[in-house]
Amino acid sequence: MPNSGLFPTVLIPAGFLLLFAAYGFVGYWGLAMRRGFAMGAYRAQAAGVSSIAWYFMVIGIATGALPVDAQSSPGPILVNALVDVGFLALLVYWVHTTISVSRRSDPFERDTLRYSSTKYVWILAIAIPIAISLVYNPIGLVFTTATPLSPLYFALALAPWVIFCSFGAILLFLGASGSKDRTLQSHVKWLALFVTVYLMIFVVGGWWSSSGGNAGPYIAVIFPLFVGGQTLAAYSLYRSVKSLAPTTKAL
Amino acid sequence: MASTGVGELDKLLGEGYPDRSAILVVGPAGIGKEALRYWFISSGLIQGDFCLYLTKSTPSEVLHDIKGFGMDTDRVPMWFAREGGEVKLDLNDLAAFSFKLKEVLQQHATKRIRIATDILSSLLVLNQMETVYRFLSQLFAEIKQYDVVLVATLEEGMHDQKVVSTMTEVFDGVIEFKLYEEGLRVTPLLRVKKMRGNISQPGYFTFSMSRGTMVISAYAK
Repeated sequence: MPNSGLFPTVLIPAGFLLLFAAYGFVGYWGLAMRRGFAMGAYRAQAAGVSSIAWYFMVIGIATGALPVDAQSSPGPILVNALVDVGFLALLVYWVHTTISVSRRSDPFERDTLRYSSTKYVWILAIAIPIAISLVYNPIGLVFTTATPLSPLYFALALAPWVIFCSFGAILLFLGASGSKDRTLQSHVKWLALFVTVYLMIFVVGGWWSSSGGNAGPYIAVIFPLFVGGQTLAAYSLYRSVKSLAPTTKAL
Repeated sequence: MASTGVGELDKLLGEGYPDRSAILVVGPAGIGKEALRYWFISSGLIQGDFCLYLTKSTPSEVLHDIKGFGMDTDRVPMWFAREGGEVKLDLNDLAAFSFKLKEVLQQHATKRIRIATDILSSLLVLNQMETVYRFLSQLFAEIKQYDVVLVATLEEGMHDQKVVSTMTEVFDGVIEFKLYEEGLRVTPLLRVKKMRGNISQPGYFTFSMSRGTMVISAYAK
């Protein structure tokens, strides 16, 4: 049986180790590219992508190390909330730096969706529900008047993602297509693929947990899919890092 | 010769950019090509040359970038800019742009004139390459009647190799920037691809930029 001995003791740690190495490698390349840039805007963009990779490297280790049955206790729930906030914050930072770079390569230097003046509204629209949910979640746990999965908490947790995915995606699409810079367009394309794959994994992961699938027959099917999906996500992130600027291997 | 504003680059080129020349700086976005424009103009302002900056941005955006490279912005050039400059720059009207430029050059004909520009990539995106080639050839022939040195930058990622090759033919000198991927490292390199009247230093050089200085050293694999 895959889940009786070898699978949980060897293959699961090996899967997390693979993800740790893959994201670590991507994070390293982000910093290597950053060192090649002299302009602050491009260095910030490379640092943003690199941070996303480092973040997933740490998550890979943390997820692997966290006891499965501890997921319903307050501490890990708070950690999970912070983990989700962290990813969103890094994505928002990446969009911010990428829009700044795309404007530079736009022949008319267009201010996509008036981003220079609307950026604070956008960031606040994401930050406020996050802040409320972070406060609401522990209160709900302590007083048990509202559970973490109550409709309000669910709406608060979902709202920032909906805002990010709608406004952020449109912003990036317009910014990248207006820039005429094929290097930037390639970078955005690969990172968009990374976010899409990640969100799909997020949905499948949610289904896995809600099905009580941390043990039993689910794990043998879902875990390899999870690792495969994450490897694809890491590859997309790697390609997006490598398309921050054209490099040459021959002089 | 016109100083580049970078002592080590001056040494590399002899004493600087040749008189009455048009210099192209080509490379990936973000690598620091812009800094060569800023140092060139900054050096001209210190020496009392008439300096002209042609930009698709606004003067305040350019000055913000200049400060980001750790350079002074006490003295400023004359601006041809999208908005906020002495002359409004419309990239869709090449004839009017050319006319205004020649007018300004005539007014300052007694001085050495330095021109720096970031509009070349935009011109190539908005127009046919042949149109830009003809426009630049005529423009360079006319402005070289004055004591002019022009430095333009070209974004490598925005154009085909054919466009880049064609542009290098129009200019008197070409400085090429590259991000060289060597194993697990990315090294920024530069080389003088061609320079009128100079025996170009062969090979690549590594460089670093920080707080208003540029350090260049020979690159050995």
